[in-house]
Amino acid sequence: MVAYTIRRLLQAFALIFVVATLVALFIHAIPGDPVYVILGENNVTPERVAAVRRDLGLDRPVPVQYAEWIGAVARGDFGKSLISGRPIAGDLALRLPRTLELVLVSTLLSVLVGVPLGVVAATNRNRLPDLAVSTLTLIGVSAPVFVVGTLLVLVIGVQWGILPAAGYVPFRENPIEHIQHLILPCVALATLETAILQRMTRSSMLEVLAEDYVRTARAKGLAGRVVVYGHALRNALIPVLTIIGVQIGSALGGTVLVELIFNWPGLSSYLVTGINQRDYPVVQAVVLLIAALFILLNLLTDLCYAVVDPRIRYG
Amino acid sequence: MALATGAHLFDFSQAPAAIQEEPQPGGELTYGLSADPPNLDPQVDSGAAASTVKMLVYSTLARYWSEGQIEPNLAESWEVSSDGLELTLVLRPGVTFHDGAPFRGEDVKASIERMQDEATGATLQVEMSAIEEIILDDDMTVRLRFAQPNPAMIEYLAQPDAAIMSKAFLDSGTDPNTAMVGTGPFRFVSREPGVSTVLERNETYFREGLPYLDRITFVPYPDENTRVSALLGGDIDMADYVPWKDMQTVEDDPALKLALGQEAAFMCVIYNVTEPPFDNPLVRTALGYAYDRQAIVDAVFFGRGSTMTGGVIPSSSWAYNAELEGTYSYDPERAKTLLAEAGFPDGFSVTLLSTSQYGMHQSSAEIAQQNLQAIGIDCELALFDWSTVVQRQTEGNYQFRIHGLSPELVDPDFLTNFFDSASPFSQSSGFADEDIDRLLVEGRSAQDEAARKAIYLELEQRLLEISPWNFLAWREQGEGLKEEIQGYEHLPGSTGFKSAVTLEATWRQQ
Repeated sequence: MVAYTIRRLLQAFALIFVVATLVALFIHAIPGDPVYVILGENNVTPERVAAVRRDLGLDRPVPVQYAEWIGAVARGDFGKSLISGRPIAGDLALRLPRTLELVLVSTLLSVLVGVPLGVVAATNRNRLPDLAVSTLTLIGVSAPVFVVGTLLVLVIGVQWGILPAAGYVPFRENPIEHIQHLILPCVALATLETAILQRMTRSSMLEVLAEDYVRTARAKGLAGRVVVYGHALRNALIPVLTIIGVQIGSALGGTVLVELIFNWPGLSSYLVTGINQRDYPVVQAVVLLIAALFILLNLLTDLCYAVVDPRIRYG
Repeated sequence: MALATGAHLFDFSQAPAAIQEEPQPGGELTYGLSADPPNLDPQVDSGAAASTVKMLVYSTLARYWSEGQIEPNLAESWEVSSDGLELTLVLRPGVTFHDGAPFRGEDVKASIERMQDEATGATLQVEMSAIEEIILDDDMTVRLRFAQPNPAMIEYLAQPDAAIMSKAFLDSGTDPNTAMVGTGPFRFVSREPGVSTVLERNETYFREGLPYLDRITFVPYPDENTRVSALLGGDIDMADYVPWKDMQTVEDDPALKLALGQEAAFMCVIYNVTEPPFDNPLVRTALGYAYDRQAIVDAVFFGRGSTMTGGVIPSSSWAYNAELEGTYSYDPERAKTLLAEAGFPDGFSVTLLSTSQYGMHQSSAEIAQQNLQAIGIDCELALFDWSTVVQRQTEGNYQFRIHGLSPELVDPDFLTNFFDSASPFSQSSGFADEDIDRLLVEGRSAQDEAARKAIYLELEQRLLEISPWNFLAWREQGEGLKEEIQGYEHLPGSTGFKSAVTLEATWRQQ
């Protein structure tokens, strides 16, 4: 197990390095130049452009810039934003927790709502509860996150006014307002996850409920609840766990739209602004961070798998 | 420099002067901005949203106030010498910076020198470099000497980018990107990137009794729909750049109102005149009759704007040439005839550069495309994101493009930045006209307004004759705010971008 973990970690580092290289290549390859963003189009003269390029080190060949960046990152130095001059590491440290909060709370929400609904649907197969829930989740799976998000903003935020339409309040400033601002974006993010988890749980449960050992448990006279929750669910959850791990990763991607719609100052909005402004070091740093998180998350999920299911052993 | 009364420009239905109530001190304001200020250096432009914050903390020597007039600010009075080569500013006594240091001539000198220094990257570096010498006659009198007459200098000194900074602050080495020490009505309290920037009342502001508000919290809302939702939902008290599609909704809402300025900015077509077919002025002039300007006003700006059938000097300016209105009109037949005369009876194929990032640019481009198809010109749209568009236009990598611009100054000398052969616009589009260059210099040097007006008439006539640009439409723009916010004024015309200063006289009914 330990050897396996170490091997996976080494693979992870290699993978992260590949991602970093690809991103650096891509962002430099697309047209658009941060120098013009910095100067503002009305102030552009060839001399100023050359001066800014020199100051920012953008006049060096891309491989040289890249090598310097990789070296700096290895030392923990993520450099400074080309546009604002602020140290990137500082902004990453500020914004990462905000995005993680969205991802983790929405995942928690989706587990708390999706899994029980999946059990309900499985144990009431093809009867009203099952059909009702299935219809809801069909909508949940089909509706894009930006549609759900915008609807929530318009109906709950603007028309009914029960929750703030958008924005962010730091927890230490006002915990209640912070939570009020957290609700809608997490609901928007959680909608798809909940639907997927519900369906996954339902089908997994149905499979398990048809197994021989469940029939045996019932034949032994165990109460229905004990059979369902004590035996069936625990086994049904194994594939669900894998899905949750994948979901957290894709939720990370979903935050791009959610942060935009709800004005949540997290990592994804930082990335989008960076791309729009061609802020190369910012884009490279954020993608590197997200890739690292995603890869490590997958590793964690695989390890959890081994913990939860005693039949799985890694060599 | 007097402006024509802006009565027909300023939307009087929102005029704070109609409110009978007395201003009430106290209260806080939450202002939703279209972008998070990337940094706080007041002399380096980092966007309109950042400007809004900076112009409340820092003051300039003169400023634009009600109806877009220039009035004294840190300079109590000024006069230009008879030969036009010297501008003498008498500074206002008794002003202190937010850190308590007294405001004096040496601060003005240090601020101007900082702007002149290339290393600063100041927006007004070129303009301030026209000042050859800064002489401090005494602590409170500053004399600026130029090599040539410079009637626009006082306007440049009224730009928020000409902020006066404290010499002590500059010498101390504190980074002006992260700390702000000025003489403005509000002092800088805190900033959390992406979350908020907070300003508080300056108790020692040099205007007695002002500002009324205790505190202003700026919250960035980059997505315009989110910003409007926040305003409609009551999360914020005020929002800048209300999208045209939402203006009616905000106006209809009984709890909200609009503060708009007319002729704030204009849409135009800029031609790359180095290559066919647009190297031929007759072609450009022909196209001037092809565009349906009213359609742009109606479809893109929901009627909130006006067509430009004459020159580009706005109707609010003393130099406005009313006689040029109607030079162009929507006349596709005439366009076709002129095109045939120019040697293109069957039209041609071209590509129009614009951006998909801003709805108004893309929509205007789409309308222009349709108009051109109608007269037999095969027009393809090249839509890119803003960064790419800026790069391509600077490199001259386009045939023609749609653009949105605003005159930098109220003084007609703003035409220099647009049409002088040395300007960035002309350099990238290959435009150079001797007559225009000459007239621009003459317009600057002429001593009295009547003489200048005649020169600018000739200049605009020449512009319309050779059409390096086709002017399409002026647009209104402005802020949305809650009804109980009083005293805020959106300044007319291009000074509208500097309206944030009126927040010093803004109060909320409690």
